[in-house]
Amino acid sequence: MTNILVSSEWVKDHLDDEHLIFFDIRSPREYNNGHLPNSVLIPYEKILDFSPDTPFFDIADKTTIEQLLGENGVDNDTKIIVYGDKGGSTASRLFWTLLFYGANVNFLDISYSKWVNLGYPVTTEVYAPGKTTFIANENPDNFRVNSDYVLSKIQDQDTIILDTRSKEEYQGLIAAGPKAGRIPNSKHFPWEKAIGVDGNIFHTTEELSSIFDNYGLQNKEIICYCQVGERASHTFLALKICGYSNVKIYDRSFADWSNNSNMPIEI
Amino acid sequence: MKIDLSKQSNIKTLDLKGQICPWPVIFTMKELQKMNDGDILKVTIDHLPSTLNIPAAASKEGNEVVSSTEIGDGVFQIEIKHNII
Repeated sequence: MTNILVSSEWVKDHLDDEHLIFFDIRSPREYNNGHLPNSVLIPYEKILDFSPDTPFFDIADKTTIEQLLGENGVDNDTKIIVYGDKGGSTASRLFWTLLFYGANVNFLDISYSKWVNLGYPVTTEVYAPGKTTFIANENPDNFRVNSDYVLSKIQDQDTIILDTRSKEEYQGLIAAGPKAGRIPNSKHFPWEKAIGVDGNIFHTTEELSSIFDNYGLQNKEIICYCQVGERASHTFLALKICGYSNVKIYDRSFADWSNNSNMPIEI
Repeated sequence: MKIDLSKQSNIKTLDLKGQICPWPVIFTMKELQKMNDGDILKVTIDHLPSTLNIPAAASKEGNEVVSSTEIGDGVFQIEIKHNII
């Protein structure tokens, strides 16, 4: 997979392309106040299967995503460009969710705020594309993994497990769940390291590659995790942008791991 | 009309705008632990995932999520009533 990001300049010149649709993952009020032309609001909760009884955010099931895309005018030939705001972790989660189900998806390289600051076109007109059919193809690259898979890799010299949470979480000083600590043998990579400056979702590819060079990731399988799969999504994409081919995401992350008494925790 | 002051609820606000996962949940739950039965906590956040995991975490501890409303552009207020199970 290459060319995850699309430049704002390119997007600006292709806003009328009928094969393009934009997915806005911000809040309803933010969308209603202005959005890119030909963009639809994707409610955050629609891409998750979330129950108050489970500690983790699960990915929405295949039927839900097929309905979501079909209702928003996406078929298997449509190119989706996702965008959001702030650091881009929520849009990153949307991106890999669509990727997981085999959609043709790209990521706008800047935040919505920067798009506005650049003076590029926005509208308050709600876009209502006609319904169509999208057929999902689950996990085509086998990049989404579960706790048993991660457990099988914690002693594997060919695998690097990246903990993308904060230093305090990694060190076990705080916990958002029942237990503090980290997955054994995981390396700490705080996700903010990959966030670009001045409204760019990521640093440049050269900058990201330089940052990742310090982690010994070449020719390794890389598994990203955080607390509920948000921050890990951003790092997952950053690694893919740099051309790392064997990157996986443990999306249920530490919220799942720390609630499972069978899983070892290192402090 | 008499007001029983001993049963009057305290209302506390917590501004967590700018905070991302996991801090909104952690700060909210820490604040709730300091509160008394019937007290109200109004949490302001601007991180979408927190609109799901704060209510979940608060409910799991027996608190009542009264409302969750978008009060500004991408800014949500979650009102939680402290309950002791």
